[in-house]
Amino acid sequence: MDVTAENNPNYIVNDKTIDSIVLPLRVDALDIMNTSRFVLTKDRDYDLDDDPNTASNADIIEVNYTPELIYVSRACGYKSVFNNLSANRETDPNNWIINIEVIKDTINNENAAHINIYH
Amino acid sequence: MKMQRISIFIISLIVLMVLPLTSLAQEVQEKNVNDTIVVKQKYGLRLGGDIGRLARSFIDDDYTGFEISGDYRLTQKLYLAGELGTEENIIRNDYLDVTSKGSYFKAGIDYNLYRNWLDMENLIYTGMRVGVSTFSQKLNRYTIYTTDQYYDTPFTSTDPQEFKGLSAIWAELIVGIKAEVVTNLFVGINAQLKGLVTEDQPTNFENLFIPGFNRTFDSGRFGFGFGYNVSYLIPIYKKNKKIAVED
Repeated sequence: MDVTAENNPNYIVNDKTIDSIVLPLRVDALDIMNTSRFVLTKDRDYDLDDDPNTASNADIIEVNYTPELIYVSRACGYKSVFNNLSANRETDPNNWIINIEVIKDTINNENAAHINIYH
Repeated sequence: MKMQRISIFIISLIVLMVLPLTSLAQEVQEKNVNDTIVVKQKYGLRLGGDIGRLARSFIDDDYTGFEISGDYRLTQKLYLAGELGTEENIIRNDYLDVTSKGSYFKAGIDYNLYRNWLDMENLIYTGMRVGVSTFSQKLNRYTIYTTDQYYDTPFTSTDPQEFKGLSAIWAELIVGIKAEVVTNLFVGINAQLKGLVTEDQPTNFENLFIPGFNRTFDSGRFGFGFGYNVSYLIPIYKKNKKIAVED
């Protein structure tokens, strides 16, 4: 599987089989709803041939959240936590992601899972 | 004529020989009567300024500050002392850019530990102060701390945020020296160990620099400071100082 942010050439996950992904959330503005969109591509490694049955499938998920800044220390300054988390999958004719579900709607650490993606 | 010269010589010889005896007798006598020497000491108000802060204001673009200090001699060893100052300091790092600005007042005592020779009035002193500061902190810029490098630039706010009307109270221990270089003109250095008693913390931020207190530390309530001052003594009255004569 490959994961990138939408319109970003850099890979977050590049050709790996994994059961969890860590998505970096962008902060564009404070105290209002921010959106990050990610492209999750399945079976990119079969794209070498022209066989339509083994073509890769890219689904886009959209994550919405409200960043809130919390002061940490003089060396680190501010960190961001994310409130009001919501996520949805963009519907296209051939989705490989069946459903997406938010488990915890506040992100204040990077250890626990906050969103479940079913496929 | 020759005879006269000889007799003068003899007389002066006798005088020379007798004189030490008499002076010795006098010294012994004086010791019995009085075993102290009295010298005059100047009491008054000493006013000065901190040249260290003044110099740093010229050298360091992120700092401006000045302090005037004064002390008033109460007894042989005890002085009432205080400082009044103003400071503006900018702290910059990758994630923060903060201007702290304000004024402060410190009051306390100095105790001279140095036993001066005769009427000299130099000081090696230790003292205590209570300091009060009113200040403001302005967050000029901040960048969100992130360990993730996926996106090019982390969010940076350049919308200044000002926290006004902050105050802090602290206690200080001072050690220092003051030496009289020209009559009534003193130069001195001192070091201060400070302990913060109370402070107003801005919400979702902290005081990085408190005027008068100097920078704060994450690890606790302690702080350090240094002073280099030049001061002038305005003598008001003189008082006797008795010095015991040792054998």
